[in-house]
Amino acid sequence: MKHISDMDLQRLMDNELNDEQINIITEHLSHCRECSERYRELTSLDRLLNTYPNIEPAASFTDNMIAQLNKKPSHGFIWRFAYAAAAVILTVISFYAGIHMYNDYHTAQNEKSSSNEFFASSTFSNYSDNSFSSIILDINK
Amino acid sequence: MNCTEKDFRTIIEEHKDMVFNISYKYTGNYDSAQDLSQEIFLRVWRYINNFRGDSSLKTWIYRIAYTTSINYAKKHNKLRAENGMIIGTMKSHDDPHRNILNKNIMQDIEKSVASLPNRQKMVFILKQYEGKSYREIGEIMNITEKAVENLLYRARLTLQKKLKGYL
Repeated sequence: MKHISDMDLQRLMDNELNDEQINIITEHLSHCRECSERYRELTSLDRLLNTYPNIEPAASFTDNMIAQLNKKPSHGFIWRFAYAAAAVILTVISFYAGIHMYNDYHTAQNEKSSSNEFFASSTFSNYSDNSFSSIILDINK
Repeated sequence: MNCTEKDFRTIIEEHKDMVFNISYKYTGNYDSAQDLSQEIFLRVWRYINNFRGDSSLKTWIYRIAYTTSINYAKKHNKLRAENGMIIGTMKSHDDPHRNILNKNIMQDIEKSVASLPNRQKMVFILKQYEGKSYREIGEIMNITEKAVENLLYRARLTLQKKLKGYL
C-alpha cells in the first residue's frame, strides 16, 4: 500500500488541496493507521502552536511612531556619516600622496641616470685609451 | 502614492497589530519587537511614495516587514528569545501549577519559534499566525510555492522535535 507523503499531509492540513485530492487522502486516512497517526501528530503540533497568543503593541505606539518621523537624525547617524567622510578623505589623500611619491622617485631616478650619462659622455668617454694615467694627467692640467 | 502624516497615522493604526505580532514572533522579545516594528514603519514611510499599487498595501507592508526582519536579524546577529513579556500578558488560571505549566509551554514555544532560521521562521509565522496561503507567502517573500512548502516543512519538523514533550 502506498502511503501519503509528508508534504501531502501538510497540504491537507494547510487547505492547499483541491476537493478531489482531499477525497483521495481522507479515504486513505480512514483505513491506514500509520498515515492517520502521522496526520494526528501534525495536527496536534498545529494546535499546540496556535496557543501562542497575539501580543498587542503599547497604546502609545502610533504616537511614538509619528514622533519618530519628525526626529532629526540621531548622533549615531551623524557619527557614522563623519566616519565615512573621514575614511573617504583619507583614501583620497593616500592616493594622491602615493602618486606624488611615485613621481618624485621616478624624477630622481631619471635625473640620476641622465647625470651618469653626462659624466660618461663628457668626462670618461674622452679618454678613449681608458688609461688611468691619462685621466690623472688631464686633471692636473 | 502621495502620503501625508495624517494618512500615515491611519496606515499605522490599521497595520500595527499585524506588524507587531510578526515582529514579536520573529524576535521572541517585547523590546526587540518594538524596535523592529518601528524600523518596519519607518521604512514604509520612507518608501510609501514608491508604492505603485501592483499589490495590495497590506501585501506590500508584509514584504517590507519580511526584508526589514531579515536585515534586523543580520544586524543583531543573534536574536534573543528570553525575557519575553508574554508571561505578563497571559490570562491567569485559578490553579497555580497549571499557570506555571502554561508559562513554561509558552516560553518554550516562543524560544523554539524565535530560534528557527530566518526564512523558515518567516514562512512559518506567515502561515501559522497570519493565515496566508502558500501563493501569498511566495508573493511576499519572492519565492516559489514549492520553496514555501519546503521551508514550512523543515520549520515544523524542527518545532516538532523541540516541543516533543508537549505533544
